[in-house]
Amino acid sequence: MLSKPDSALILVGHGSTVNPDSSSPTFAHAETIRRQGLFGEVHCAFWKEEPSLRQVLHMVDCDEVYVVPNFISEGYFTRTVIPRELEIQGPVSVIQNKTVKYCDPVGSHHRMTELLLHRAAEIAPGVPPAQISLLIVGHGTSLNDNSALAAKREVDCIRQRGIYAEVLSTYMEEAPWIADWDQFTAQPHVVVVPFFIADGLHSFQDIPVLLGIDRETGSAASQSNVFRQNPHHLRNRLLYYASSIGTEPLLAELIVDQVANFDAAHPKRLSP
Amino acid sequence: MKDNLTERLAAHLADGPHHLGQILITPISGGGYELRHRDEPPPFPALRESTGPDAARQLALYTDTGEFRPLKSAPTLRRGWRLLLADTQELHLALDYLYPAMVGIWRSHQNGTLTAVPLDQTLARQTGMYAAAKRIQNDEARALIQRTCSSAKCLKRILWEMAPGQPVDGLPSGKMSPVLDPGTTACDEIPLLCHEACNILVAEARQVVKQRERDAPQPERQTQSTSPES
Ligand code: SF4
Repeated sequence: MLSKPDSALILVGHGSTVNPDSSSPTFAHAETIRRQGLFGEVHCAFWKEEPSLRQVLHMVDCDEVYVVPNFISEGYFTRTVIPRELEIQGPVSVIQNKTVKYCDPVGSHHRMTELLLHRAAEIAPGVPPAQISLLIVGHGTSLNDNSALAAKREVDCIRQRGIYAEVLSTYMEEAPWIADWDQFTAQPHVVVVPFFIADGLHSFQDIPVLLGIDRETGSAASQSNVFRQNPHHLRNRLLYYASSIGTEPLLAELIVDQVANFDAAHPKRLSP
Repeated sequence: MKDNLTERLAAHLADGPHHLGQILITPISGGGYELRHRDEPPPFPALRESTGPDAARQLALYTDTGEFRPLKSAPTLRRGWRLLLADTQELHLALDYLYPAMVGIWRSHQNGTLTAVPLDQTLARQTGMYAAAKRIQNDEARALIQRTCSSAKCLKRILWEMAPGQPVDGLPSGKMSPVLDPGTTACDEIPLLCHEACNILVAEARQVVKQRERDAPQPERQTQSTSPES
């Protein structure tokens, strides 16, 4: 088990100025890791909320800091925004007299597949996987990240395991459109897992409307019933709708593991 | 760990009650701390009591009327609660939820290691959809700061300048100074400091520019990526 009593962990989320649920999973995972006592300190930082990426290093006591983006994939935020705002120069940077180690985003961890399988099994208990079409839904057509590619990669990995009758990636803004879910699935049970890091507007408002669960956009996810009424009887199928994969408690393990992966990929002697 | 922030906070608070933003922090005899809104009208026993730092995050999340508070230094902290914290560790975490980074930034300011970043540099750094913000004009920026940063909207004290050698004008002097005038409050205060314009101000600057450019279309201009960053 990893133990870094002399290092700090900073978990970086996107955050939002309108949606209180955006930062909740980041705070929750940070609290889980804090309770485990693996790091000397655990902090969160956000692009759109506080503490900001410009503030967070002032909170840190430790000389060594690991930064893990709580993002679903590599992309504009992990490659441009976070490095620029933190003044990161590469995998290892010295910033404000601290050695800052920049890890891969949690979403690119190979165990994301396991998490998706875990969530899918949890949302439709007792249903034989041979009668399930599993849909991993991403945003699509976003210039910001490679999340559509990442969703496809996860779908390939799940498919290879041969557990579910069907596994497909589907998108809000490109084909295959999530709104047409009943047309490209064949099984009586359809499980939908949003491939997002938080329950933002997409997962609790837009997707339920596209699926046909809700007629119009409703309240915040934390106040919404959309995840608690499974299964939904829709279009002659039983539809099971999960909350975003980023809210999965097991994600905390993957965040810690990205630090271990960083150390394995960057042996100490390479540090400046 | 050379400089333990939790210990420094404990030492600073040992001599009695302190203010941090809209909070009153009171050490409890026998150990621990009590937090409540600094303008809470008595009787205090009527306050809803909670314990532990997690409750602080919930308290900081919404205003009294249920609106989300993305900027924690907005003067909209809800009332009607008291929060009991068992030790300095819990206190520090609770303060980080209520006023994120403010204890750490106070330390850096005391240590002389807090570097204020002029607004023009913050804007010049922006990319993607926020790149437009760097086209804000001086008079627009001045009006924007008065609207967005005034004490009615944000309680932080501004340490940055518009540009090097060009201070922000049009705001009360208290808003621009890192320390309170002595004698203005009943107890000692940990200041809320803004050493660099926040993302809310940057986003507003972009809006101002976009609005102007919509109203008076410019000739062909090279724009940067219009990625749907938000
Ligand atoms: S820029 Fe600073 S003072 Fe202005 S609103 Fe943002 S945090 Fe407050």
